[in-house]
Amino acid sequence: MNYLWTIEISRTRDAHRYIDEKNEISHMMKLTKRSQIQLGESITIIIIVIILLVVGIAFWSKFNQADIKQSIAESQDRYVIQLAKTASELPELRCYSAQDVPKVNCFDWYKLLALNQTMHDPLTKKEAFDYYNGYFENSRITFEQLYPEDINITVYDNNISAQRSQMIVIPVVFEKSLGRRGFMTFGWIMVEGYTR
Amino acid sequence: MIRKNKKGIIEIQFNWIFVLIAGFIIFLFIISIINSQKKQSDQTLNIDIMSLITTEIKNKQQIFNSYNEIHTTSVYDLQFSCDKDTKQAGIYIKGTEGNIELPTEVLFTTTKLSTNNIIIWTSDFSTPFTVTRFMFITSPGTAFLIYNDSANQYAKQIYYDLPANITKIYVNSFAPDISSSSILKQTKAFKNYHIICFDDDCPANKYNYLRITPSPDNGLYSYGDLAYHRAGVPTDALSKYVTKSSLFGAIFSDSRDFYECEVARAYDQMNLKGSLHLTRMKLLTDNPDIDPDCVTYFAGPQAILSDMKSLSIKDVSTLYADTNELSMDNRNLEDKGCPQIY
Repeated sequence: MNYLWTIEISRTRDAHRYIDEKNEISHMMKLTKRSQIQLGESITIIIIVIILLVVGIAFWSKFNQADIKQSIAESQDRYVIQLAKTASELPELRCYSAQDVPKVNCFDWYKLLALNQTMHDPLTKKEAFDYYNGYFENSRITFEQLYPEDINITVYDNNISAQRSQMIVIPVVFEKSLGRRGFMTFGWIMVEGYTR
Repeated sequence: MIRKNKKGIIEIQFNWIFVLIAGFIIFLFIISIINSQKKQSDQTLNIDIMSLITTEIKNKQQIFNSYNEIHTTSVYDLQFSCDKDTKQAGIYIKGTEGNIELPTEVLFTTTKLSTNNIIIWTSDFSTPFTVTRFMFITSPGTAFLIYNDSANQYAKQIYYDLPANITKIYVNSFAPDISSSSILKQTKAFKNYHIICFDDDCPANKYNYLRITPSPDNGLYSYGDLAYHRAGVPTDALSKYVTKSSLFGAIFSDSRDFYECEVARAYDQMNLKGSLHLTRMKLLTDNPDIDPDCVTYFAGPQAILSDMKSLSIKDVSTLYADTNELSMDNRNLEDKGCPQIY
């Protein structure tokens, strides 16, 4: 009887231990699951933050690029306007009245021919080009007589295999003075600014 | 239970450490973005200012005999340079990267200018054809003290020919030592001052000044000698000026080297433009439609233009004579119904 009772107690203990172990395992499994869920949440948050940052940076750089493009375009516009202003004010090409007062929008045709000859003469070409490069940099300056006949004089051309160019045209008159036999013709200055 | 608590504590600590590290990284990232943006915007602002100032300077060169002011929001330190060997001039603004070249602009100024209000005055340099437009750059903080001369003529002429908005003080009573006069009080209000004097009517040796000795026969605005005197140092070699604009160039410059470098650049332009006028005259001479009488009148001016090519800064009297002769020939050609020289 006593022996049987001892066996019963031993079985009960085993059963309890078994239950305890089972509970422990189930609790451990629950904990592992919770940790896995938490880890998953953390990774998700990190991924979301990274995605937000990447999207933010992408947007910001796109807007920034658009800003840069716009400011480059504006500066190119200003550059061509400045070139046109410089070309139309060169004292060595303008016509002057007897009192040395420059005539408005008037260019002396023979001064243009002289400049053209100087810019193409191998002896004077380099010095003249270097000097006018300080004014016109990467551009082409063409004086075109339209009436009575079409004549082009390109006094300066520094084509840098440009991708695009912007052009300004200024209507002018050309004075062809041969003393008493002088006359005026009409045309324009074409100022093209090259940009890469 | 103890094991469970331990695990919980470790988990909570790990979370906090994770939050701290992640937060710190995000904080660093944001700070670095702000810093790079600030740096970029500062650089953009400086580039904008530099481009504004140089564009304004270049634009002002197009306007004949003009007075202009460029206002900036804060004070900028401008440094002007002119290399006498390469004849390259440029402008540098402290805080910006690089030096902007001014290849065609001829400007006279103090080599260092610290201001938020740049004054630009232009005047043509003509010999007698327009060579270039000289630019005189100063600031309201710079005063020009013009000492009266014993002949009582040159100082007044310069005083009245300087634009009204430029700070100028006419020193009527001759005082070699300005420390004993009321002028010192006036000059203290300015960051710097230029003393202009004539012949022997200059202040004591302890001051910096520019002594002008005009040609006695042809007047102040013809040609003459210049001496940049530095305090306590014997006056170095004399420099030269020819025409009014060249004299004002000397007045606005603070050193002989800078003045002579800019004048040398102007002479190079004079040679090129003289050659252009000479080529034009040859083209006119070869033109079959031109009046043969005019061709004979061209011989004299052509010889002068050829002669002008070899002139240097020292040959001011020859340049002055050539300028007058060309100017006269130009008028004569106009009167005779011939094409003008320039």
